[in-house]
Amino acid sequence: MKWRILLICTAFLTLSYIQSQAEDEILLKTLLVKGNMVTDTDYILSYVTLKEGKTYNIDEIMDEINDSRENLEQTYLFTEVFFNDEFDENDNLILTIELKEKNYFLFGPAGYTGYQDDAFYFRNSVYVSYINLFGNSTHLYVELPFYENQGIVFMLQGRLKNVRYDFNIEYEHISNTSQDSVGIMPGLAYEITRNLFLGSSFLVNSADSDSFALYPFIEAGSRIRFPNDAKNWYYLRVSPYLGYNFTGTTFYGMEAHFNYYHDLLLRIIYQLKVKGALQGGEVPVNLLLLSDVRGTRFDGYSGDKWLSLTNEIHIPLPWDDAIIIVPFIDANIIGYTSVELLVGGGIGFHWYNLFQDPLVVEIAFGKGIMLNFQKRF
Amino acid sequence: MRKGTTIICIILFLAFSNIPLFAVKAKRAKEIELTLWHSMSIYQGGALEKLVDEYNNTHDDVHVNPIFQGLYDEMKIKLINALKTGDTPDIAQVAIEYLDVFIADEKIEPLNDVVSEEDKNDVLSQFWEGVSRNRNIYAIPFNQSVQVLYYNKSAFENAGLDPEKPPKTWEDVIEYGNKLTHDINGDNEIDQWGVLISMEGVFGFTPLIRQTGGEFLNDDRTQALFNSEAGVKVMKLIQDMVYTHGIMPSNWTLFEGANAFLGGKIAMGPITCAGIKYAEENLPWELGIAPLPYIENKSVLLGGAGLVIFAKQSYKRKASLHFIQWLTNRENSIRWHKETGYLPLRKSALESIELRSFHRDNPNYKVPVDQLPYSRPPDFTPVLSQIDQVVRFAIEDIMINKQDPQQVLNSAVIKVNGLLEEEKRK
Repeated sequence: MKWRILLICTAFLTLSYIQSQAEDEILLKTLLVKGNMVTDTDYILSYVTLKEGKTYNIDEIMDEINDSRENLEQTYLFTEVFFNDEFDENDNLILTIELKEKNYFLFGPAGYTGYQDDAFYFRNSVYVSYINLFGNSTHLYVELPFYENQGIVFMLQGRLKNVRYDFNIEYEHISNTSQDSVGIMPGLAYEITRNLFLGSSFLVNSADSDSFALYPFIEAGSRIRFPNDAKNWYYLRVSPYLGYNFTGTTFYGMEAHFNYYHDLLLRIIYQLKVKGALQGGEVPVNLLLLSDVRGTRFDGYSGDKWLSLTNEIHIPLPWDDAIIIVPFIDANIIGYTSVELLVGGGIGFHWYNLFQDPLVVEIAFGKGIMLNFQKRF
Repeated sequence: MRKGTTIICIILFLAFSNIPLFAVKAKRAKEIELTLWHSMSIYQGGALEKLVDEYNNTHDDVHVNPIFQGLYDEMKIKLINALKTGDTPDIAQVAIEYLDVFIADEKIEPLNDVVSEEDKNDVLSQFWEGVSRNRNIYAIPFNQSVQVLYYNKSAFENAGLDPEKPPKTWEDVIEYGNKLTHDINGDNEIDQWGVLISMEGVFGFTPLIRQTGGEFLNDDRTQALFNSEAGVKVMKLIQDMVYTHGIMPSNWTLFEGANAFLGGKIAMGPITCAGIKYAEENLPWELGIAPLPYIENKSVLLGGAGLVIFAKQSYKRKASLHFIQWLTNRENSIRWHKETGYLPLRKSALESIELRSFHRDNPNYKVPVDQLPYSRPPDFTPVLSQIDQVVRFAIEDIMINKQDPQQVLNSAVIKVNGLLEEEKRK
């Protein structure tokens, strides 16, 4: 008898539990996307983990919304992602993803003008970029030099789910030597986990000799602050490479980039960029390691060993955070058998406006004086 | 090459020129122009202007011009002057405690008939209480806030305290404060204080009296009650934090305190929830937010401002109301909360999945919302500013000059009663 009562009680409790679970479950009847004027709806939905027609409890829905929101924010295509909920007469959920897209079309000056060893030098160009081509975050970038050299830099970068692809072409005709150089570099990378990519690029190069090279790489972290209140973030890329010249010789090397960002206070950001590279073999002339100390001619110093340090402090103006003052100090160690230490420094003004990304104007002092107009990648 | 470059640039420009960037809205000749005076400075001002821009871009018939007119005190003075010259804005953001100044002089009209039943039911009753007098609604609640306890999680960890277990009562604050107050470099100067309670006059004092079972003013606003046993107990508690426990500086202004907090020299302090977003994004250490500690029972002061319609012409009043309804609708109420830390205004916003999922990932923003059930606005009277001054001097005498709380509060009450009596005679 006691067993029967116990059995009935257990059955009753189990049924009550099942019923209460069923009451808490919500059917996601419709999933809508609103506000996307450029971005393709299917592309947006590929980042949304919620599925139409599936049943969730409220905690699951909130978790999925937060995951989907983070996915969409990490595309950097939207200024706002908002999940608006409504319920129909049967208490089924109608969820509308309301988005506000960023500006996608950007253009501006790039390059630099300098004075060193009693002579002026120029390397100026204009760039045009579009960061949501085909509505799927594909980034097109074209840069056209307008100094004595001629050429074009073309870059296309995009991603399909976890696969990132890029295609770069760089052509330059150097007037005073009448030499041409062309580099064509397609690449593929796979995102293993968030912000960890493993991939490879393949270079077909024509300069003083014709060659090809394979650049496998690993990339971790992000250059962009995410989430918005992150106190520290970093970006790392390591890429060994091996190349073959059609003259029968080879070249090889290793490149590593490490960027570290630290929020000091009141959105004042300290940036440390460390780049290092080693080369060996018969390196084509347009692939030689060059110095990058601002204030000193970039093509003035080359080597097969290179260590670069860049220190910047980004200080937004208290009354207008679209304008950022950036004092910086750069240092390089570069050379072949003997190395040289180069140091430079200066101040920059970064203006984030509708039309540029951002406009960067810098004055730098090194072996000479340099005025930079840049687009920052 | 240069010619070629130009052609390519033009082609690219034309190819992509159908993007939103260039979709500048042409201004219509018949557009209604509204002026909005607001008190939202740098950070929150940006969030407000973003919303106003969106309204302007999505509504063809009305254009709102937001103008920053200083903080609440300055806004009040400018509005009083504007009313004298007849040069008032169409809409103004008025602190809820200053509404009485304009109501007493019959400068603003009740909005009972124009506020929809849906809004009356959906906006939380505490917020309506803040903008209503004698059952008349004089403003639409907009930016509403309560104080919460900000604390430095990194300092907690360094002091061996669990950063996920902030103090619940003021007694806990003293206990934690003892562990958090340090002379780090051994120069006999305190480098990190445990707590700072800025005790901003009426607004700092009122919730603590209520937590002790007392009241600041009586119900008909004819008598001050803050020299009661409850008031003295609060002041003794604060005085003890300075002189007995040595965990709080005695003479720091709000500005000094805020700077010290930013620099990590203060480990805890009650601050308005309206600064959560700013603090999270700008402080170099991890911010913790906890409910305002209590003495005997929980109570927090509801502050903030409402939007008052000063426009005279009926078409402008109608347009102003339309804009305010848009600005305070469910979606924008959530966005405003997420962008600043101010409280969501509506029940529908609190119930929304968007807000609940946001709070799940951002628990600091949920703390002030959880305090809503025991939040109350201050004891309104048209002479609240003058009373505030009296109370500020009294607090200074207790905190800086170390005078006896009972005696100081007794003489402050005499002054405040005089002000209330004078107001009643008007």
